[in-house]
Amino acid sequence: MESVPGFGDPVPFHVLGGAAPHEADWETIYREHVSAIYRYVYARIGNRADAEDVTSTTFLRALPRLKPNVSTGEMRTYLRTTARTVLADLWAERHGVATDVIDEDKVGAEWSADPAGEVDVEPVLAGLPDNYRRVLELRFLRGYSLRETAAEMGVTVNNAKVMQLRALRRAASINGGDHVQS
Amino acid sequence: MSRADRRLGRYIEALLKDRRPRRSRADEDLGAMQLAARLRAAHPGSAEPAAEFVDALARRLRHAQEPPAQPRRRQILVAGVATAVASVGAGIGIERLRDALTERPGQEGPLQIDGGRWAPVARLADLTPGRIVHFSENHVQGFVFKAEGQVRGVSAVCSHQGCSLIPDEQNARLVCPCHDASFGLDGTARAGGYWAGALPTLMVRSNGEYVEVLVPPPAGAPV
Repeated sequence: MESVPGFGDPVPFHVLGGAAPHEADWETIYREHVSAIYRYVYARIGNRADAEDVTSTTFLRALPRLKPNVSTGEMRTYLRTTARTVLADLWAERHGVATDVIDEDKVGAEWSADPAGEVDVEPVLAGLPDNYRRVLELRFLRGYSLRETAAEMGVTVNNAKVMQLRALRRAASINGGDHVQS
Repeated sequence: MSRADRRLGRYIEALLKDRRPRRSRADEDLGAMQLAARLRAAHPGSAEPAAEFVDALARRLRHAQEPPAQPRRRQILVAGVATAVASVGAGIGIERLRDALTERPGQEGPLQIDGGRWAPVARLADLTPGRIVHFSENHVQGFVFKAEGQVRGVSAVCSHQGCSLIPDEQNARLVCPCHDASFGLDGTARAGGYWAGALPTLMVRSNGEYVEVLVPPPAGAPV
C-alpha cells in the first residue's frame, strides 16, 4: 500500500467500553473496505454527495463497535449491514419509503468480493425497446444532457424528456415489478 | 407532464449532476428511482470514491478514536470518541459513551496535552438538568450540558451548511434556523427535510467549579 502523507505508524484500535486495545491496524481495515462500501452505497443512492455521507456515517458507526479478531468476511458483512441501515433511513427520510420496502434483491448490484467489481446493468437494459435502451445509455451511462440526447436520437428535447421517464419506468417494471406496498 | 413525471425528471437531473436529490415522495416511482441510481453507478468512474474523500474520512476516523494526548502535526478540533458512538442505538450507545467518558482525562487529574488546551467555558453550577449552554472559545462554537451525570459537549455549527444551531432545551435538541434540520445532544441528525451528517462532539471535563472543553491552542502557539 503506498504511503499516504499525514499518516504515521499504524494506530491501535481503541474499542470502547474499556476493552483492551485491538492489535490490528484500523487503517488497513478501513482502506481495505472503503472502496467496496462506497460502491455498494453509490449503486443504491446514485450520487457522490450522498454516497460520501452514507459511507462516512457507516464507518463512524461501525468502527468503534468492531470486536477483536473479526475476519475480513465478517467485517464486510457488518459494514454492509450498517450501510443498509443508513441507506434505508435516508430513503425513508427523503422519499417517504417504509424501510421494510427496500428490497435487497430487487435493487440488484450484488455485493462483490472483488474490489474492482463493477455494476452490471446489462440485465437491466435487456428486454427494452431499442429507443428506450438508447436513451438510458446516453443519459446515465454516457452522461449526455437532454439536449445532446435529443440531438443524438433525432428527437425534440421534450420527446427525450418524456422518453427517459418511460424508459426508466419500463425498465423498473421489467426488473422488479411494483416495489410499493400500500 | 404529471407531477410524478416532474418529480422523477428532477430526481434524474440531480443524479446526473452528482447532487443530492431533493426531498420528494417516491410512491410508484421507487423502482425507477432505485434503478436510476444503479444505472448511474455504472457510469465509468462514478462509483469510485475520490481519493480526497477517502483520506479525509480516514482522518476523521483517526480523530474519533485517538485520545487527545497523542502528538499530531495537525490539531484541529478533536472530536470525542462519542462521535462514533452517538449514532448507535440509544441504550448501548449511551452506556459505552459513559464508559468512554469515565476513562477520559478529567477524572485522572492534570494531563499533558499536545496540540490542545482545556479551556473553561462555563460554570459547572450553570449546567442544571436540561440546560444547554452555548460557548465560543478560540474559534470553537459549541454547547455544553450535563447528561446522566456527565458533562458533555457538541458542536454548535450545523453540519448541513454551517448555520449556528439554536438550543431547544424543552426537547433536548439543537435546531437549525436555516433549514429543516435538528440534532440530538449526542450530535446525531434527526429525521427532517435535510440529510445532515452527525455533529462532532467535544472533549469536555469538569474541573473544580468550571466546565472545560478541549480546544486548539491559540494561533502561534507550538502544536
